[in-house]
Amino acid sequence: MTAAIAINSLSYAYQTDKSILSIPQWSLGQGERVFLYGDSGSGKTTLLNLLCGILVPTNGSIALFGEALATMTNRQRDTFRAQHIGVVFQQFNLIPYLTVFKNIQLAAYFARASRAQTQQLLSRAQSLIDTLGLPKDVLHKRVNQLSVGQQQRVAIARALINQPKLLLVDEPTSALDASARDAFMQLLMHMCEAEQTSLIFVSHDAALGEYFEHKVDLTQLNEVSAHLAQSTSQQIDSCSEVTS
Amino acid sequence: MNTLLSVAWHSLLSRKKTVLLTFCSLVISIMVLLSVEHIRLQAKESFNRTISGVDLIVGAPSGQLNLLLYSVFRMGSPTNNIEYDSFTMLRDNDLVKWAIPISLGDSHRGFRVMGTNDAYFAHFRYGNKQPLNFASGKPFEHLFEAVIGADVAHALKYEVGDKIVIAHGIGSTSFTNHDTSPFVVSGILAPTGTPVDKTVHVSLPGIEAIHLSPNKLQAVIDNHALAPQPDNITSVMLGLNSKFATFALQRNINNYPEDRLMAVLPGVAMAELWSLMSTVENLLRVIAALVLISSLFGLATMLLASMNERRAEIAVFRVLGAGPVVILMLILLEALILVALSVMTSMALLTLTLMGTEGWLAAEFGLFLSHDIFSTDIFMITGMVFVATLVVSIFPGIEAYKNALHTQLYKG
Repeated sequence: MTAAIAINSLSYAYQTDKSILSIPQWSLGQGERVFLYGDSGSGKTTLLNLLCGILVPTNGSIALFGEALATMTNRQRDTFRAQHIGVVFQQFNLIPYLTVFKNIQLAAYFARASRAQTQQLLSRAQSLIDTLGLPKDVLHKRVNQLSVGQQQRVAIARALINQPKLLLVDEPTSALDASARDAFMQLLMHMCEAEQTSLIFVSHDAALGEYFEHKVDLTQLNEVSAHLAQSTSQQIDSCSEVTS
Repeated sequence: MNTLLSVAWHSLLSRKKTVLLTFCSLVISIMVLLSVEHIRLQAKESFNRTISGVDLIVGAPSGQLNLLLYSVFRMGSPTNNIEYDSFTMLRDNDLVKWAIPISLGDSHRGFRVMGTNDAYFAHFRYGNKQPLNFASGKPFEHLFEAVIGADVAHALKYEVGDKIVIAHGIGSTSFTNHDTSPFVVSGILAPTGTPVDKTVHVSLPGIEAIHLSPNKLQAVIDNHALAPQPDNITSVMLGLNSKFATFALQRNINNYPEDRLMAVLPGVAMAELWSLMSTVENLLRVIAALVLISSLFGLATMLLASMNERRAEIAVFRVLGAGPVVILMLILLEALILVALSVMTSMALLTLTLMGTEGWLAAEFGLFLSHDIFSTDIFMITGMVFVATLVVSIFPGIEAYKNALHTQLYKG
């Protein structure tokens, strides 16, 4: 079985000689769920951008389900993202002036859903909305009429509508209060399990790690930040030596 | 495409206030553009329909524009006359099919009086070779009968059988009113939309009679004596048997030894006259185009200004799998939708305005504007509006494209 994600000597630099992300080897099995954490500056956002093909690696390769992102054209990458990757951010996941259903339709439109899929879209959207515990009439409400918590749940529905094989989630709970957060996490895990979706969950909040079997510290995985952390701690050590 | 259209539409709806203001400015500017174009086309059409089927106009030597202005448009005054014998000479020429004599110089309450004969009602054509028709009555037969144009009848509320007084000289108030030479309206012409509508037609002897001394005139009236035949007239319109003879005849007329004559080709003179107006015409079009461009820039500015607040939205589109080209198209679609709505609204407004003011314009200013604004030229102008829209909205479009290309997931 091919891995959901296979990273090989990946590095990324915004400027030519200033690499900010460097991962020699990493992979994620299909259906696996991983909690990715790390200090700010450890390259979480960069890694997510690389994984969904919005950024292209400077060196090395990323293969998703056996397909190398670097060999695709920009268009192919966009379509691949639409069809196979669901993304949920911290906030602003939806087009605010469209209804919930239109947002979900858009996701299917860009994934070039077949006619049969389009016909089933409404019933599928409805069942997702039900599972996520949202009221039925929410589908035809405009997004900016919903609460933040509702918007985040709609974002999951939209991310899952094309039955993606990989779900990338970036700090989805930071705008939610504690009880909403727990409900949200349980739902998310339940949905991923039901759909056999691989999940990368990025967060600062170590407490959320308890929902996951696998945890990865990007600060350690990323050689650049690991090195940086080491040198910083050495500096702190040397400073303390001087003061003592 | 449908999906994108609906997204663009909702995006516009979500910015109602700025969009509405832009829409208003677009409607106004497109209306100005269409009005100028429509009025220009109508003016040209009504100009070109004043005369039709006349091969040569003959008058005393002056400029060809001058001759055209007074003999066809009844504007200005004839500088000189030609002899009546010259008219008979032309009429009897083998090359000539028909000849219409014209004698100008008098007026009736502000409307020009024109002396002519039955050839006028038989051969004069306007518009698309349309003959003159009588709304009521018939051509003049007697000395003191007159045929009036539709505008004259409408403005002065004349009917067939009414007595009218014809004054010597031009102008609505004349000191030497020919009170003693009363005319009777024998016929009223149907409207033509040409200067014919504003003309009072009498016979050539009728014109002569106006100018007789009161005593002699009284004698003519009392005795029903034959009025004197005219000595001279203002100009002659000629129809030829063969168009090929036009230039030869024109040369012969210009070299006629017995009288000083000048023959002009109406088509050439009309083109020269219209080219004088084309400066004004082009100036109006340039102004209208500038007004349109300025409001298109307004549209581009609105779209560009919205780009900052739409960064997050563009990121969402990218994540959903939309390429930068889709984002660019979305912006262009928004511009096109707005302009299409503006074009439709301004066309509707213009048609309604023309329908509402049609009667008033015709009555007050003698302007005949059709409310049917749809013509090839108008559609071409509309096409150009859309092309200009695309060109101008490329700027916000490219901004959105770049934005989309460099967008990243929202930083947490």
